[in-house]
Amino acid sequence: MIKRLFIVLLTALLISLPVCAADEWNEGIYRAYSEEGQLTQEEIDSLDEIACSFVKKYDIDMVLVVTDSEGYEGELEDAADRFYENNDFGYGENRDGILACYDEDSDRLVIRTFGEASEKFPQSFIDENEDYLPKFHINHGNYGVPCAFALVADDYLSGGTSDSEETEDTVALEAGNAGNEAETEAEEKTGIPDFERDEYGLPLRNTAEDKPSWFPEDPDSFEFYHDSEVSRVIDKADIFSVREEKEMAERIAEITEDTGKDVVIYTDNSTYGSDRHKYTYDFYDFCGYGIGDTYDGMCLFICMDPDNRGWVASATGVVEDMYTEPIANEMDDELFPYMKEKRYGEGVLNWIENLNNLYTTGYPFVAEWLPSDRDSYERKENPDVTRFYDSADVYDEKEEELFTPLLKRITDKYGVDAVIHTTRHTYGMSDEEYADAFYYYNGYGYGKDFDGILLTIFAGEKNRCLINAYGSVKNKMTAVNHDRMIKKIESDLEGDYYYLGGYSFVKDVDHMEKTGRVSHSFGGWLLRLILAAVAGVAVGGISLLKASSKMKTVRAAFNADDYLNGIQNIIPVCDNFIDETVSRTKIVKPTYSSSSSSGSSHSSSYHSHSSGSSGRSHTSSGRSF
Amino acid sequence: MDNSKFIKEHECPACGGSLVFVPEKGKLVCEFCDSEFDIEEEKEEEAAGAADEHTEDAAADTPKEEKKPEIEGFDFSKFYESAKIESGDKLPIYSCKSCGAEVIAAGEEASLTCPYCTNKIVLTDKVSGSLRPDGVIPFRIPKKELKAHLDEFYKDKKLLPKDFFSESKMEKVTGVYVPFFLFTGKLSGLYKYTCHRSSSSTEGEYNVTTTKNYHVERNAEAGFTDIPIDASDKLDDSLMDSVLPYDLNDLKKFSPDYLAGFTADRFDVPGKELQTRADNLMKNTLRSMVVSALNSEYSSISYKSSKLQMSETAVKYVLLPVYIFSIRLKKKAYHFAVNGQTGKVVGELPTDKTVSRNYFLLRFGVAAGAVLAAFILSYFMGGAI
Repeated sequence: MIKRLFIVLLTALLISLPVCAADEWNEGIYRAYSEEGQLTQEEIDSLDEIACSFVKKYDIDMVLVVTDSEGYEGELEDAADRFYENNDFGYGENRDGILACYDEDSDRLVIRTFGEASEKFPQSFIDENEDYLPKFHINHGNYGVPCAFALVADDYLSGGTSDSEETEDTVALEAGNAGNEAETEAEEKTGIPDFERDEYGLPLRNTAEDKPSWFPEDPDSFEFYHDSEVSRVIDKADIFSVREEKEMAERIAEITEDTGKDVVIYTDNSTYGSDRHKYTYDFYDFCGYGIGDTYDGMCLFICMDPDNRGWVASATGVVEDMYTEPIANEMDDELFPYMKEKRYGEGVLNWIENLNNLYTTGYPFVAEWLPSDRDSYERKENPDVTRFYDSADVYDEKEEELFTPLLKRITDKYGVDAVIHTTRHTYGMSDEEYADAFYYYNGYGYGKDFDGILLTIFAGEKNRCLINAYGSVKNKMTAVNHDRMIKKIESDLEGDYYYLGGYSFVKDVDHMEKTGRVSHSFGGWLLRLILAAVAGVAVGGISLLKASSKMKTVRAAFNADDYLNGIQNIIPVCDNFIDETVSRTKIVKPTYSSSSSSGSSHSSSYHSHSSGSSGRSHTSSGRSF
Repeated sequence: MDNSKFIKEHECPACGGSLVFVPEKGKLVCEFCDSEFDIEEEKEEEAAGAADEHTEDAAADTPKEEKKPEIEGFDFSKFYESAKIESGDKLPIYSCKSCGAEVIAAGEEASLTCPYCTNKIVLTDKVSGSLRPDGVIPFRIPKKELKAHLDEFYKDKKLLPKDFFSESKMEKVTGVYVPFFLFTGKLSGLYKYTCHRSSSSTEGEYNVTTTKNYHVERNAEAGFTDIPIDASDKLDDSLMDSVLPYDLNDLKKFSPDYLAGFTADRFDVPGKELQTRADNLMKNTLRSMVVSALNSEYSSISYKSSKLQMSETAVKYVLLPVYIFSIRLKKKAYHFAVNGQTGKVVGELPTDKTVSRNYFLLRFGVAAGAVLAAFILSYFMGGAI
């Protein structure tokens, strides 16, 4: 009897317990919510599970929301409060709970507490995490922020002391778990092998100290795969701000979607003793980057090792053919000042834009003056257009103010347009094509033949220039005049004396229009004077020596060559090898600038169709900074 | 001591006047009646004992030199000893057959003019027996033609002082038969050199130069014929070297008649010195042959030693014609010599700094001006330079 009573009581207790818990909170509703599909169902399920565990553990409800700017009206805080109150959230009669709401557009997180939760989570906890936790969006997407919040909150209440790194690790782990089921399905579809991942989603394969953790144990039998989940911005060297990383990730996602080509940014403090180029290839190949059958894409690797600081931009698949040496040099030229001035984020964002141009137009830069529809462009005289166009920004304002009226004076005086233009890029065109296009599309030229003369200065590590004559000016621009003009300007540009180069051009055009000739420079005349003097000294000296030797008619006989009678024999007796001496002298090389070796600070090292450990072909360029 | 028996006077058989050798005619001509006489060929027996070529065997019994000669196989001293010069303290006195005056002749003079009757005298004892020359090249260029040769000589002498022609004074011209020895022989021997052959290559960051060293020996030989070495101590060796060459095809058998009207000297340079000079000339030629051959085989060479041998040697004693004179300018004498056979003029010449400077400046100005003018012309013509 007693036994039967005990069983009845126990059964009643067991039945009553969940009923009691259900009374305290509504387990039947999701504690994770996204407004417009910011979270996948798997992620929602995962977050819900975490939140429910939290509720059970601390008797405080936890709600995790991801939204965007269109998902609410008014302030995010008010919207979060309304969401909590209008739904059946909260534990117990005071509806104790904590809600984290993340707006992906503004990259803002608000944490709201209700009931007793307000006492358990102080304002300092809220403030600190509202600032800190949005960074998890960069590497872990929309899932990262609420997941990190749940872990931080749990840790706080449990009295733990986990730091941000631990949290990040756990988030990554949870992220991995969150998509576990989906991943398993994806693996089946995309062939991504089953592996552990680090906080960036990179594979954890290798524990050897001399190899990065993503490096496979057996590279020879490695099977390539595409991994869309792994982060495209991996800042192990921590040189970007959170905002920069986010901007990069977003822009990369857009570019990849538009062009179907991958973009990867990777920073690290070491290459594990490997060559920078090879390390970049391996990273790209072994971490699942690249899109399509040929794994198209580019990876920019920045190595911050103080002894091996530099970058490598590596192209794979169809991008290899697009990433030619001149283009690589131009893109590296553009990136170099940013790297040198430690404006890493800015430089990389700019590089990503250039890469987008490369993907979409075949050239990384776009001239601002080039009409988008060249075919329908109608050329006409444009007297108001500026004749001083300093795209390369090598002149200061004062100089610009000086040149503008000088060029206008020539136009007015002789009826020909005189134009000075500086640029750092030729936008995939040859120098000649570029100059002609610039003259044509900007409407330069005077009269029906568009008479004019254009000086184009291509500013760069090594300045060069081009002078093009149009219309009637062509007749005056003889080869001699052209050479004289060019030589003077080039000598000025060699020392980056842009002002002198420009001034020399203006002066010579003026003189040529007036007299039909271009005068020699002062240095040229001086050189000719020196040449004449040298010729004089040579002629005078040789003549004097000759005359002096003729004065000396008395010389003692030295040999009897004149009295040889025909008997002359030299017979080898022996040629015995004695020994050998070897001397070595170190070759002193100037700054190295080759297309296939380690780059100097001012020139790219360009490797065409090289391969790393996987054997897959890559084309890359890089520089030290 | 009366040496009159050794005097050969050149007296005109027609008028008793003095006969002299006239180069342009190649004959003896009377200074008074212009009668011409052919040169008397001396009898073979007269020349006997004065061998055409004095070989080394001719004096085989001469005592050996204390010092071993540098080139083995030839000892000129043996020949030389056989023709020792008269020493200064035994000045011979000759009695002029024309006027009977006693004439003292220095040991080396072989012909002279009687200071009393201007009779041309040849001292036959200086040129007979072992002292008899093997040959003589007679004067071809007459004294009166010297001016023309000198004018030709001055033509390309641009640095002479301006006043050289107006102020200089040409002193007495003397036609001298200068004693020369003509050395013939074959020089052969073994040369030892250390030679080096280098090659360079690049190994990584280093330039590697490998030098292989060899011990090299070459047997060399060269034959020389008639190397003339002047044996007159009174004349500067360089001056005599410069007046060379002579066309030895013109070499005549000696006759004292050729000396008539000219000064003739006997050799007076020590034999060792003559041999050394000849040796050095031959050695220099042979060595330059070896060096040239080795230089074509090796990158660099360094001389170690040599052992040389002379063979097939012969020496001739000849008299060669030279005009000697000095030109005096501002108290300084400049010595000249003219090859009496070819007319080649050699001698010291004064140079003037001002003339030299002006010479240089004129050419400098012309050349520099021309180049500058070309630049300017090119500029106005729109040329490329």
